Amino acid sequence: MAAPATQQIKIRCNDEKEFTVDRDVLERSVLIKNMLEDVTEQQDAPIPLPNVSGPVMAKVLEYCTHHRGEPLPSADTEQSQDETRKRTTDISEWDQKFITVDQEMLFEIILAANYLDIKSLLDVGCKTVANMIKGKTPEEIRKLFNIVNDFTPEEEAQIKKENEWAEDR
Amino acid sequence: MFTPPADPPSVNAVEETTQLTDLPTELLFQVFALLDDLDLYRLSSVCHALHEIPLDILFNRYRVGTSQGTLNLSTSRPRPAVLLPALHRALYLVVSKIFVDVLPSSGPRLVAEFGMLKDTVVRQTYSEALWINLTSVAWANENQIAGQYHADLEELRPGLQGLVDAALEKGCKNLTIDAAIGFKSLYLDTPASTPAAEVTTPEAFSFRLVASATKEDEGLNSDTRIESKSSHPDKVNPSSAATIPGEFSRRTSNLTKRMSLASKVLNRLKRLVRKKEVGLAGETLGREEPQPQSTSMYISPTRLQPKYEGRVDIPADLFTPTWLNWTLRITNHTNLVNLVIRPTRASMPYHDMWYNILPNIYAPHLEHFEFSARRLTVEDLAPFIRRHAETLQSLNLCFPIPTAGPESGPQLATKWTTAIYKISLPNLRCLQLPPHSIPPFLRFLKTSYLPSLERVTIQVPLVEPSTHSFEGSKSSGIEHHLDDALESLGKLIKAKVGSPPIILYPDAMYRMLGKERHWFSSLSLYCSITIGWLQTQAARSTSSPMKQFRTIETLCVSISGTSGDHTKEIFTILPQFLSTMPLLKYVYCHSGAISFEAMRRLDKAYWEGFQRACPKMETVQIQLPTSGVRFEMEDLINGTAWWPERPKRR
Repeated sequence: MAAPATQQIKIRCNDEKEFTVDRDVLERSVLIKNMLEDVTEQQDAPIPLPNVSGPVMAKVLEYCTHHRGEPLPSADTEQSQDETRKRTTDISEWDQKFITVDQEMLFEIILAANYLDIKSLLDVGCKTVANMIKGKTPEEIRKLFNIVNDFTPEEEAQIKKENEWAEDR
Repeated sequence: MFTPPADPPSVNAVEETTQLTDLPTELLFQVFALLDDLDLYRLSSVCHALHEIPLDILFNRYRVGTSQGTLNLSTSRPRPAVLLPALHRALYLVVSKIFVDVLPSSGPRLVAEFGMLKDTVVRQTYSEALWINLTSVAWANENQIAGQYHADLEELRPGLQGLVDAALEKGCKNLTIDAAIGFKSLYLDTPASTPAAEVTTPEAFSFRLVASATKEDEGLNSDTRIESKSSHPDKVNPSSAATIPGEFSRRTSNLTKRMSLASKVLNRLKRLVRKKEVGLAGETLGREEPQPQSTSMYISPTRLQPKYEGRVDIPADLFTPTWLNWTLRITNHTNLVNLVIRPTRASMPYHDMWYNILPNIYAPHLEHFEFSARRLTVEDLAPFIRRHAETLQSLNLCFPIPTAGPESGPQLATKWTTAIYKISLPNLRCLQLPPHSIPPFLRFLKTSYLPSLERVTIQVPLVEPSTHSFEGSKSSGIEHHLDDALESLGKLIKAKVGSPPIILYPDAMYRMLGKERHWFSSLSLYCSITIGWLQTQAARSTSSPMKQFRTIETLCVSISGTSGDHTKEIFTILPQFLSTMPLLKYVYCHSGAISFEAMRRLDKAYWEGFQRACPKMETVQIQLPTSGVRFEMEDLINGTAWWPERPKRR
């Protein structure tokens, strides 16, 4: 079955929001790509995506549309990319602008990218979070991510002692 | 009709912000993997939920290769200490091999580092190996980076001791401490549970490595040593404070000591043989050090010889090739000057390991290389020699070569000619060649660039009568080549400074009969010489006077395989035999069959006859297994020689 490039696919998010998207855009998501390949008959029923909300999906689709046509990273290159990508947190200009969102949206995008299996988007999200953490003290990290310090004073003291090792170079 | 809502309102619909900590663990791993060590460390102290993952990442980052349970702290990072607290709190850590490269730091910090490492070891069920490299600490000291280091040495000891104890407690059998200049002395107490006597020869059966740097800082390292002191309460033995025999010379400035704790292994052995008496052949190789002032490495993994009846299978995991490989790989060979590989017959099961090890060694300052393994693959040895061609000064390839079979001389010849043909060894001074390999080595000598060659030793053992006639038909391949080889060698070496001593085995000497050569100043007859052989030679020399020995000044006779007192025969034969050596100055007899009593009965006339045969004769030295005496010719003739006491019997 030769799928026409203009084929439109309907998806439905967990808040009932529906999108009709070009197939090649949606196929940035390995999850959906596999789904579409599994279903041989053309179906009008929208694909349910119970783990993604409308606003997040809109954002994800924005990313997918921008990057449509780019080759998907294959399973083979994934491995080597993991090596080279290791600890480099450079993000392209467009992606940087795209990912400049509030924290909640950022984490939702990461979760969605993970669920939908969009490797490049997940990378962008992870790098962004890593960049946020970099160079910050534990207290700054807590403040930034609104995390409560749940260590006991004893643990805190022990950690502080060890922190001296780390900080003193 | 009532229709229930298609989907209940999603939980997500409830107002609730997604947080960093809400991300699933695998995503957190992915995010945190992008962080540096320090960031990870800080992150682990933010809250419980984020505590373990950074530590996990840190650990994986420092694990050696893919093998589980190996921890490498010998990184080039400025502060491996950052990692240590993380490690010792990581409860899931399974480490049985630890490498620690201790970097320059203050004493208290080092003690604390050791303390944390100790905690790591204590958590383990089993510790296999511990390697502590303290050399960079000392180097830093030299470079004035950590000037206070000397003062902190005493502070360092308890920490080190604690770590070592912990490792031993966990069954560590490979303990390595690379010390260095700056350690005036380093004392390590052996565990209290170890009987003192068993600590005396810890490296006797172990792979042993002694290395020293090229730096000649005499003042600092004159008494560099590692001592093992026993603290066992039961045995009050004054000699129990045993010094691990370390021939660390005065010039030794970087001391590398590989200690495999004998006690542990011995205890294991004892369990195996149900508490029978087990001894260790504590023969150290130090006596045979070829160049005593140099950095040396001796490998002889099968020094372990249980001295009791019956047989025990030494646990294979004690000296596995893998382990040897591993210890050699992690070792920096920068300071290695001497490499002696001298496996014993008992090491046959392990002989494969040499082939694994040699390709892994590159010692930029290697000067002496001896390889006397029983079996040899040229393919493995040749690259090694080529790799060290620039620095090699002495090459000893005295491995025995079988006369027949796939690895016999002729077979090997082909291999050698292709493998080390046309090699350039610009600094090579001494060359010792294996027997039954004259043709290939001759080709090697002819085609190679060896401008510094001063001395060549060839071992030519007695040819087995079954394979070669001793009378030697001229067409016999080996003998023919040998003849040529000797001729060529002579020409080759004649041009060099001085007259080179050439050590020949008896049949080589036999082949020389009837030819005149002027390039020997020393002749050594090692191997099994029988009285019969001496008589034959003597008879031959009277029937047809030999001229080829007339340049010889030193004669070594090593007589073995004799029984009873052959003194008379020997001393009867010697003058005739020696009459062809007018320049002879020195005779060295090594035998178990000479009695001083019989020798003493030789009268003045005998010694005068001796001197007539060899007018330049100065010294006769007799070496018995238990004692050795050096006689001046003058004293022998005048009857003023000192004779050793007759040993009291029973």
